[in-house]
Amino acid sequence: MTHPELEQLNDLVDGRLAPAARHDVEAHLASCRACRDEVDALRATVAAAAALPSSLPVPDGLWDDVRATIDARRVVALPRAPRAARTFSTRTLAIAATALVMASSGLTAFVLRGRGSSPAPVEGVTLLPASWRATESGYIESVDALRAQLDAQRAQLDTATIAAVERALATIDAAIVEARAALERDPANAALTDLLASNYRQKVELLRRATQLASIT
Amino acid sequence: MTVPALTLHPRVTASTQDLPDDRDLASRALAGDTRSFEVLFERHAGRVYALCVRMAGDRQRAQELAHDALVRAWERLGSYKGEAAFGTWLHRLTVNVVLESARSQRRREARVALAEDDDADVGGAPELAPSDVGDRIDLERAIAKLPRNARQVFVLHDVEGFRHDEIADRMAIAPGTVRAHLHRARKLLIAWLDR
Amino acid sequence: MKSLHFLIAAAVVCSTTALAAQQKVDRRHAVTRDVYVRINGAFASLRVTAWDRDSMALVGDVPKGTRIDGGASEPPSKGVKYYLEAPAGTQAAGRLELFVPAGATVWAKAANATMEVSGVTGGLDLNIIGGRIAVNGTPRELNVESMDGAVTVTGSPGWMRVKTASGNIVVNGGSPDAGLTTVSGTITAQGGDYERARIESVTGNVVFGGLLRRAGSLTIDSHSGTIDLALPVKASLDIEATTIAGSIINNVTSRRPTPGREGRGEELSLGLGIGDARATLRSFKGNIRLLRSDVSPNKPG
Repeated sequence: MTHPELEQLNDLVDGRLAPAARHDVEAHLASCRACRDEVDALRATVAAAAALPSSLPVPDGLWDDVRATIDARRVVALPRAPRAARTFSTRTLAIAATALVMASSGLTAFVLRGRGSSPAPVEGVTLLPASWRATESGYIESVDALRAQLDAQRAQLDTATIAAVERALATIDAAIVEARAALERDPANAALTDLLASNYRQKVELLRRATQLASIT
Repeated sequence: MTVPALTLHPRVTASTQDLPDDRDLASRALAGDTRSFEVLFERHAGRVYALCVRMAGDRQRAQELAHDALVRAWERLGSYKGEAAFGTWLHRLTVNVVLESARSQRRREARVALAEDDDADVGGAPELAPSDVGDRIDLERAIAKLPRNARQVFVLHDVEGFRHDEIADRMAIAPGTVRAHLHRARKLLIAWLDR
Repeated sequence: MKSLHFLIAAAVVCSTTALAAQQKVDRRHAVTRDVYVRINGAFASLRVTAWDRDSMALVGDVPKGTRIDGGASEPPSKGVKYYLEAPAGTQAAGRLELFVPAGATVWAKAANATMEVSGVTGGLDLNIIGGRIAVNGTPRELNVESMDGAVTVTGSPGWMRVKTASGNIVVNGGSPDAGLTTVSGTITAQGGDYERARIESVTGNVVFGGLLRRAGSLTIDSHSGTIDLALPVKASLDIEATTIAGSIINNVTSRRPTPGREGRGEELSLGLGIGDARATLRSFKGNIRLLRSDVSPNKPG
């Protein structure tokens, strides 16, 4: 027998050869060192793959991100705020607001007032990497939804609490603006991406906590 | 004072033995308890993430996929009936999320380049430094460098243990194509790892 | 003399009025050792103490007119729940003491309050806006959320999350799994072993002087706070420090930081010992300092 096709050796390793073909290939292997080595290498690769750990350490912040998305979607799904309508309107508003802000370069003042969303990625304007833009729009969606919920609860919170929340939000927003501007100048900077994500997580987390304060003040 | 029908928020923790099992946690999570879902996350996210890393070949992308899969799991908890292990259910859901994302990415790319060339993303041999990293790390890196379809078939078959017909079904490709991708993946890995 | 009598009489009337403005709280229940106790609402201070009994007690004084709802399920109770509502238009002023079996889980929430907990080994979930929280002991699980209130933990919870807006966080002890987060407060973690610790601040300064276990990991991110990492002499870990605009000061080895990407900020990579743990320190514009701590050199870094 001439050397079997490599595909046949693969099928042999996987136990997918018909009995007759398997007999032929095995007979060949008995006398061909090169093909035996080939099969050994295939088996070693398959065994190494099967022995890879089924689990890897989860990146920091993954739970926080999952939690933020869950919270935001839950807020959006509240009975009096139909999901489709709310999603559409907040996103549209965010993009419109960002376009306006970027055009007028009043970004800092806008965000510092703490009344709007953080800068949303706008196609063709921002230089940020696509992977980060996707992450950021997730945060912004969460922020917008939580912000809307907080605004709806405003009357139930005392003025000192509102002031404390707004102060903290202003601090975070100033950091977001600064880190984001730096990332636009250096989009490939991984540390900067992590720092900006950390600021966003703080904002989502603070808003989540603030929405839970209404029941105790 | 006795209040008969007092219901309390279930309290769960990840580090003791008398823990609620996954099914209990899933039903509490379905009722809106995020702490229960966090425990499920702690138990299973490592596996979800590992699958995403190997399927995507890129850690940043893997993190996004793992996020999407876990959020979808939360949203679809109602479809988990408890007949299979929660981990199995979550694992299959993750495979679907990853493959759907790969399909939509292929569609986007197809619009740009009419003839999709799966070989386009094959680089040279990955930069391995056998002196200071173990075989396992080498293999992980080499898998990440495989062409996308070959990588996904290899991970599903050789790492995750899916059958050819299941893979063909889920990836919407012919069984013969599965076989060809698998063969190609192994051939490249053997060459790169110098086995 | 008459006027003196009048003054005394007036004083007696006043003090009885003050006493009458308070009402006693004394609720006792037979409970399971892992009872779940939830207390929410109007009180100014809550002291939680673990005791070795199959019962719990809530005692103290609250202003007259305070409504207390809730109670226990069938004895021995697995769950007890209280909700306190202050008389309309008044500030929360109740002072309460809660005694629970050590294995209990206590969930407490109040607007402005001092909460002090000692000896609970079950779970703690404490939430305030202002005031102060102090936890002594080693609960299996500790979750603290505060806006302006300071938080102090003395012990080594199995799992610990502390989050504040402007409140300072101090942890004396360690944890296999710790997450400490603040916007503008300071974070100080001294002594104790950590396996996985994640610390985040926006403007607050961070001091970490804990020990990392083998294969442990520590991440500290801050926007403009200073990050101080105090290292014992025999620390064995890999350190990656990055600033975007701040400086890195290394008082531990002779290695000097290099300028960061595009000449901004600084970077420093350091391997100490055999490097079996890892620390990632990142600050946007705060400084990062690596310092020697005076921790006993016998302990693993």
